[in-house]
Amino acid sequence: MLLQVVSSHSPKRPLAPEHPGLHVRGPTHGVFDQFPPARWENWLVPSGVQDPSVLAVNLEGRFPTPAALVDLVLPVAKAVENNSLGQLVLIFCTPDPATKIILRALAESHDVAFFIADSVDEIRNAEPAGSLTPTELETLELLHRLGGRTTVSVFAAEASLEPSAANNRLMSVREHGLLPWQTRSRRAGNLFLDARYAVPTEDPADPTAEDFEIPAEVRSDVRALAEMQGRDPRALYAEAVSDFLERHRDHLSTEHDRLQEAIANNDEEALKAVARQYAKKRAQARRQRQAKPPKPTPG
Amino acid sequence: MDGSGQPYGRAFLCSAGHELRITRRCLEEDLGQAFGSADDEPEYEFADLVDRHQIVRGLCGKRADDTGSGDTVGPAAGAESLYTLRQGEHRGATWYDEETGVVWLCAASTFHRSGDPNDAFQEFQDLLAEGRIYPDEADDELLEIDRAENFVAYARRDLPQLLAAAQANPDTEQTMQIGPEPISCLVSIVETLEERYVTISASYGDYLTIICALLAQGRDFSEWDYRDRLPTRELELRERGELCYCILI
Repeated sequence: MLLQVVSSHSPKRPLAPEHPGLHVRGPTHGVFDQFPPARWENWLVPSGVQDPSVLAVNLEGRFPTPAALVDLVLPVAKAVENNSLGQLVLIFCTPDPATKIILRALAESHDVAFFIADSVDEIRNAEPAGSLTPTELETLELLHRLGGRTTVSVFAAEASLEPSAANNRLMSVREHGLLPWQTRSRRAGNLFLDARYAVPTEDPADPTAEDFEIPAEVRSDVRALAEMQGRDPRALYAEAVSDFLERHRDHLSTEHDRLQEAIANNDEEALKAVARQYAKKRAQARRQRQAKPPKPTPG
Repeated sequence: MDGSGQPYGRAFLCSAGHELRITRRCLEEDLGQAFGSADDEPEYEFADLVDRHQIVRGLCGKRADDTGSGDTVGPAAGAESLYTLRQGEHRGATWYDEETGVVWLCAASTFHRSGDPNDAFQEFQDLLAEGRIYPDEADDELLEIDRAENFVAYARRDLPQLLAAAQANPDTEQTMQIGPEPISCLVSIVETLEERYVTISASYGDYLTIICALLAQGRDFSEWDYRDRLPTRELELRERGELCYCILI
């Protein structure tokens, strides 16, 4: 099995609120000039993943012939475009200029779209490939500046557009298969995600765990992200927190019920126990954020 | 005991806004307090330590209004500087964590004779070199635990008062400092129903369920809705990172 999209989340577990999940796969040998027979279903198995996901095909150190690239790229790119693999975005990772030229040519000549990055570590700087209009490229650039996630209203405000125009621009890019999204309540608005901000898949925080906490990275990267966006860190943090709270309403509702019972029973210890459950994570997050410097040695 | 503030649980809360705490290492090794195993949460009252230890009285007297200045233990190290604390024949080393607003008593000793290997400042230097003088993960966690529990106590006491004030003055925002951050409440009457708005700092996101449970007892959390403004004003997103929630009762 050359490529497999695996489900990183059970249906009941919440998706990490910030970014799509990143799956990295790649051929295991150096030079390859062909793939198994063209039925890509043999090596790319849909697994029922519905969460926005990014498949990074790592071609670093690999040297595909043009024919092999055609066999590799086109079937899966077409499947992504047809949405038959769920919300999946492709990123091909290669530092080789010739491979990039072929990838771009394939994208434009066959009307498919994906991203191209120099390496798996450079996904954040991946460039889109395909027949995208200048406006669509500008949309992706603005999304990049917004930190890789946006709603229609935020995009409209940043681009000085009417919401309907902003929605049209985002949907236009989405139709190329380059813009996954998270469906949310009408009030919160659907969240469009930049594939270049995908994070490696790992077990997501289980909101039923005792020490569930607002993810440290939300706080730790807020200032850098805010500076990049030209926004105030407090406003950005508030947006992140409110988004997080909305996404985990079910868990919070359960916690709220426990608190109501404790209040009714005048059980202050139970109230404190709820308040304490995030203490350890908060302390850890602060230490990580501060990255305590080496203790000064006596001069 | 000089200095403005009062002991509260395991800390001394200063009127200036910061608090005084003692690292566990200092409590156990320097002040002789015994707390069982390292995994046990240390049970003590700051007020008792004030009674028993002169250096703790010095901490309250000299750090309630001044988070640290003057002579340092070791070289000055910017935000990591350890400041010397003197109280009679007792010596201590304090460090101010600006982010948390805590002055930590990191070390204490009664012996001071320059050049003697057991001199207090030599001991402090040794702790510094060993990387054991600053608060550790356990100290940080205990700080968060205390603050969370304190918030519950404040909220139980103050949120009903805040709500009552808002109900007595419809469409007028009422604000109360509850813990380190203010919380605001506004009540609007819509026909025979009551809209209750609460605004909090995003840093209080962890406490949202507690706040909602205390402001609308007997109601489901699902009845609370996020709002992007109050009826009377925009949220102070830039200034305070405010969040606003509303329930119709």
